[in-house]
Amino acid sequence: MTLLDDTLNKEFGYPAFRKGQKEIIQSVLEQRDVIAILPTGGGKSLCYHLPAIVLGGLTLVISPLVSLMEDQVTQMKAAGHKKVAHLSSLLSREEKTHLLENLEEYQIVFVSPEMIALPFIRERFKNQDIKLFVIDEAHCISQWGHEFRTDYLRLSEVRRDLGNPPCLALTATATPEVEKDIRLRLEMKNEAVYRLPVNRSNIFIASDIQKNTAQKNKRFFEVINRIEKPAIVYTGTRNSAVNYSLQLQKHGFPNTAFYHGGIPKEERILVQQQFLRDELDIICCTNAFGMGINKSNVRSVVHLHIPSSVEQYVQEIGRAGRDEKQSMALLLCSEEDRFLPLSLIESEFPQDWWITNFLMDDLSGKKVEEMERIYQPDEKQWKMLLYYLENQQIISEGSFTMLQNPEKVIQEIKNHFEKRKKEKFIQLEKMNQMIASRSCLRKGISNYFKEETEESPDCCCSNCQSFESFIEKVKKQSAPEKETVQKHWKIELEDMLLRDAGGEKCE
Amino acid sequence: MNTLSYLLLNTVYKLQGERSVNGAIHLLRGKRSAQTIQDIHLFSLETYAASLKQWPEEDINKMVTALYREGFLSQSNQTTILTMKGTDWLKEAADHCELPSAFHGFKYEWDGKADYFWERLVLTVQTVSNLVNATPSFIPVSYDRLIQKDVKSLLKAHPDRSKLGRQLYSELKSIYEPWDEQDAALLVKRFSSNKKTGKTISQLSALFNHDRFYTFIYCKSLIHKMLDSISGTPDLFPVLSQLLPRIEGEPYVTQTARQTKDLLNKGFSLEEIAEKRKLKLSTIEDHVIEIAIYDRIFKIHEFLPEQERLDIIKASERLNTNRLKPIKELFQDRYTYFQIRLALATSRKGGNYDTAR
Ligand SMILES: Nc1ncnc2c1ncn2[C@@H]1O[C@H](COP(=O)(O)OP(=O)(O)OP(=O)(O)O)[C@@H](O)[C@H]1O
Ligand SMILES: [Mg+2]
Ligand SMILES: [Zn+2]
Repeated sequence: MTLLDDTLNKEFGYPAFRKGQKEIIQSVLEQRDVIAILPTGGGKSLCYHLPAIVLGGLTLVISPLVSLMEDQVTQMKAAGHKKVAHLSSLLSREEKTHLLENLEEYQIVFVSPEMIALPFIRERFKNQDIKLFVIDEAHCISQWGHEFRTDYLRLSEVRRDLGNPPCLALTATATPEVEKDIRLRLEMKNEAVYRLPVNRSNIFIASDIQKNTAQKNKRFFEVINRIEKPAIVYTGTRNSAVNYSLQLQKHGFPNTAFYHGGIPKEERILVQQQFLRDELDIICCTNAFGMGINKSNVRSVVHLHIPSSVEQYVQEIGRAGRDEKQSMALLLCSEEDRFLPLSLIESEFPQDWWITNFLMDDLSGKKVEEMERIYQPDEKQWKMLLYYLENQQIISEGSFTMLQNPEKVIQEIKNHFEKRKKEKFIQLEKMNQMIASRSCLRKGISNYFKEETEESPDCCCSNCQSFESFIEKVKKQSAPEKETVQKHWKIELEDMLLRDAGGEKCE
Repeated sequence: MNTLSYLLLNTVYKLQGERSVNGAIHLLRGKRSAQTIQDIHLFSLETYAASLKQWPEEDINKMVTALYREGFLSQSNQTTILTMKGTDWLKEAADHCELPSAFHGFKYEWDGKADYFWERLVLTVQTVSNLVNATPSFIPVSYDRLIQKDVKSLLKAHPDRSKLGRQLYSELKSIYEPWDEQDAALLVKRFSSNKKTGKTISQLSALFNHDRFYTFIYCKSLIHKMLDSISGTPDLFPVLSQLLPRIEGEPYVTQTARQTKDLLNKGFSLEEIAEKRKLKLSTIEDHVIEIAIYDRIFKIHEFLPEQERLDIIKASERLNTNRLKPIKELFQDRYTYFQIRLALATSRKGGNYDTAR
């Protein structure tokens, strides 16, 4: 047994490395820059967690979603790793100050790209002994970066500022172009690249496109009876997450809950924990639920809408079967659903009249914040616009410069956004093609990521064998039994607070 | 139409057409300002104050738009009133839409006392449950470090965990035992333990057969009921009483008003305080009004002699208004707006729908 195996065993209690982990960790320990593309659930967190322990000093992890960071930290702490923290807008000011003043006590700190872009925060990290600079979900550099996650694009600057520590970029979904983007944006040198196939052999993939919404719903309520639970049902909007959840409760699934970004935090924590502890059979949710949810025994993932890209889809079905047991992903939608995401994409971008109106205003010398107050733009659109204007040096040091030729600038911006919009339409179109295809869906996915096709598993996809035969085959792996009797509150309270049952109960 | 609409309509009703609908919303959402604090007392809206503090703002805005559209509310120069339709509905709804009687917004929601207590209680129950049953590592129901810290220090004070579990059990049992079975069950289901996770409001609303908002408010009222018991006889609840917020000074006065009060007590004038604190004079005046409402022994006659105060109150009653302008005109500008506000703040006006009926 090598030293690494030993550490794996002692610190994490795992008997062996999963595929790819050991090689990645070795390269990281050799201080090389590394790009690691492992499938969803492949164990990417370990690739920085273990080195963080071995290397000492501080490991900085850039992560795209604050809720994801918070969940990850809480789970790590619950597993006994106490020297981890996250720095995000979810902390109170005192908590932030406390963390920033005691950074040397931590092994791993998670931070959002927006937060690390702030000069006074970066200043604090500069004084630390940063051993490893990790970019989790590194595809964000490319996929989202051009728009609202513009701070992802500035990470190379951050890295330089922190004294050029070795860099580890992790993702499950990177086409060769995205991989190239990652390399470029992070200014990697002599990097080691590890790539495993994106397809998960234990997830059966099915696609079912119905004529209209009524038929889709009919099919859904029929099929939901027969698929294995626990299941995640992804919907396109918050409202439909709530509605499907209520419907399912009435259709014989009382242990169903909904989850989306608009419900209060305490409730989100409860629903998440209920799901993790097998107290729920079905969770209906928007894409706010997903990344960071690390439940090992999710058996089915159902999509009732069309995700905006193949990447998004692969990430979401990746919640299934993290225990490596047979699971499935079903995309069930109607022809109508295929047009819905189009208007969503439209609404992500500032409208032409708005851009014209804004740039024809007398901007020169005005402060960015001042204009933001006056125009009250959509936050994401505003960031997108600012990033562009800063790059064109139309904004410098927080103020607008004189526009020599506003008409020309306006036209260029419009063209720029038009181009981005088109790219998004193309991504959506590829998703549409993938699910509507008559040939192997799994091959469709690996083609999208430009991978060599691997051998198909026994349970492949709904084009290689019928959905029904798959359902028959895996029938009754049996979900955990749920308690259905309602206990009296006094008994419940006893169960909670008095030592396990029996004796002590009768005082 | 439900309790949420009732709450808003009744608040508008009680404000007697003297405030805009935004005034009503500020009050219900517990926005801290001299104006809302004054209104709460002036129009006897203590029970409703801050009841919507955690309810999503967009829900409330949507409802207001709908109430206008469907003709329950109408705008009359700067202020909002109920239409005939609104008043009729209110009369009918009073029986089944009124808040549970144990609910007291100003006492428990305004300064976050109920939340403070409940968040700590839930985490304490979860932690004790896990410790007693020897599952030391679990994901806490609250991620908030301050809450976690408080619970940790409570645990430190009780090294014998099973004893702590028994004590907590018996305190909770003695509170819930006299209650309706369903009420007790409702709160107990919200706790998480080592065996099961607590239920959310949405989930309880299905079990309880009410809409989400009513379930939410009803659960709050049960927490208020707990707080009534505990603060009434804290000695009977050695563990639970440790979860109450410790209050320094007058409970409801904002920190900044308290500073103004300290300076007043040292003999500074309003102008000097404004100068010293680099605040506007009007802000300092707001502080004085806030203090006057809460502090029964605070002397206001240096700003407004008692007789004059009574004159203003009488005038307001005669004109049947709490609006400042008509009163100021009546006295031909003898009093400043500040003085009139101060007088009104220290009077009270019954605007209860029930008394009107
Ligand atoms: N060597 C190992 N042996 C056993 N289990 C492991 C091993 N490495 C990781 N795991 C477990 O696998 C699960 C998934 O790991 P992780 O969350 O790191 O996945 P990921 O690659 O980041 O996936 P995603 O792309 O979805 O974020 C976790 O429960 C983790 O504890
Ligand atoms: Mg991950
Ligand atoms: Zn196939």
